[in-house]
Amino acid sequence: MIRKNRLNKIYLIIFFLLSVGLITFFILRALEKNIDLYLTPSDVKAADFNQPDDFKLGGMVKVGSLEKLEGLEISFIVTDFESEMTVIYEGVLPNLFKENSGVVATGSLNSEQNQFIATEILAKHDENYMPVKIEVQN
Amino acid sequence: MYKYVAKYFIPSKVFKFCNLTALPAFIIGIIAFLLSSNFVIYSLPADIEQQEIYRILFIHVPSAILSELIYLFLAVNGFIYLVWRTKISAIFLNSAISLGLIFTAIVLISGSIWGKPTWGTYWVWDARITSTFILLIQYIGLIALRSSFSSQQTTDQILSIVSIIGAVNIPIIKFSVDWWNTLHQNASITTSGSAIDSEMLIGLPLMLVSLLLLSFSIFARNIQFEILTRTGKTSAMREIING
Amino acid sequence: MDNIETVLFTFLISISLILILSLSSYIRFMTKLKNCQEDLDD
Repeated sequence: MIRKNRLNKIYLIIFFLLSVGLITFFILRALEKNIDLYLTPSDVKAADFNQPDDFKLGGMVKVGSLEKLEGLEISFIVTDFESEMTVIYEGVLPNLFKENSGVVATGSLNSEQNQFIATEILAKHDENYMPVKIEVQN
Repeated sequence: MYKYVAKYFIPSKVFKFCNLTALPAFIIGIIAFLLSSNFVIYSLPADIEQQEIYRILFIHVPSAILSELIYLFLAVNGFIYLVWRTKISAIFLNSAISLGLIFTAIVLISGSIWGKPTWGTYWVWDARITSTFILLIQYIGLIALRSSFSSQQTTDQILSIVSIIGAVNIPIIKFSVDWWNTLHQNASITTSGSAIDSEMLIGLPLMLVSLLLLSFSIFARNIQFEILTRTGKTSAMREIING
Repeated sequence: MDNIETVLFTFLISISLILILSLSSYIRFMTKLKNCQEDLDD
């Protein structure tokens, strides 16, 4: 059906593509630190955690943990349902920031390593979309 | 099989088909776009969490689907061209590049506008956004390559090879939200169902079809241009232009 | 900016980009066609 030299060419292209894929895989593994990934509270609490610089902390805002401190300062607990971490932040919050909703905070740990001092808060929303109407009916 | 497929892809026939369909596709596409935009912006209910702003989804997601599908289309045509040396595959490849670029630009712009009020930022270097940005650069690269070589055949071969290699990025874009912790949310529509309520979901295929029609009209004009560029002999040119 | 206005603005930008590409593809093709026809007439 397919001529032999064409078949060889197909094998060559597939082999080539697989090699490129493999190379990309290893490059991505190496570059992982440079993409804006976030760490979960479990990552931070892990014994071998050692990151003095700024990093991103992500998870869910624990229900009932959001507290107003003085002025614009707030504190809340980020949880990944295994570990928890208290976050202190002062500044403007995105619209979708609320309890029991995703959050990614940029900042660093305080000197006692028990609180996360955030400089930026981003809301992470989920993939669910529901019409307003349904809520009204309930 | 080759024989049966090939007879539909003779340049003069493709040219004639494009000539007939480009304008109707454009007109229907524009009307469909206006109607479905009106529908998704004013008729569909607002979202519980995001209120009105979620409606950007209806331009963001179809453009994202198209930007990735068009790249796969380039790679498949590149593959066919390299193996079977079919001129029409090279024509298809060349004609679709600018479309892919536009849709990738729309994805990034609409996502950026959407990100500010919801996430709180226009741009983060998260895995999904970074890989889509790389896709944009890939399209720009292909366009730059198109005018870098003097011979048409060399250009076609290089474009084919580059688009095949670049296809590695497509699964990375698709699965980036699963492989890494990203700010971007996971896919709403998966094999196990849709996380978008069925009432809202109807907006997506409507917008997708409108954009497909508009894309086709642009694609058809590009194909006609490429066919004219590649036809050398006067007799062949006469056959194409006069039908 | 109001939310619904932002949505409208996004749709407007998107369709303008598509229309610009559409127009440039059309002009590029028509120019080529004209040149080819002139060559044939000569």
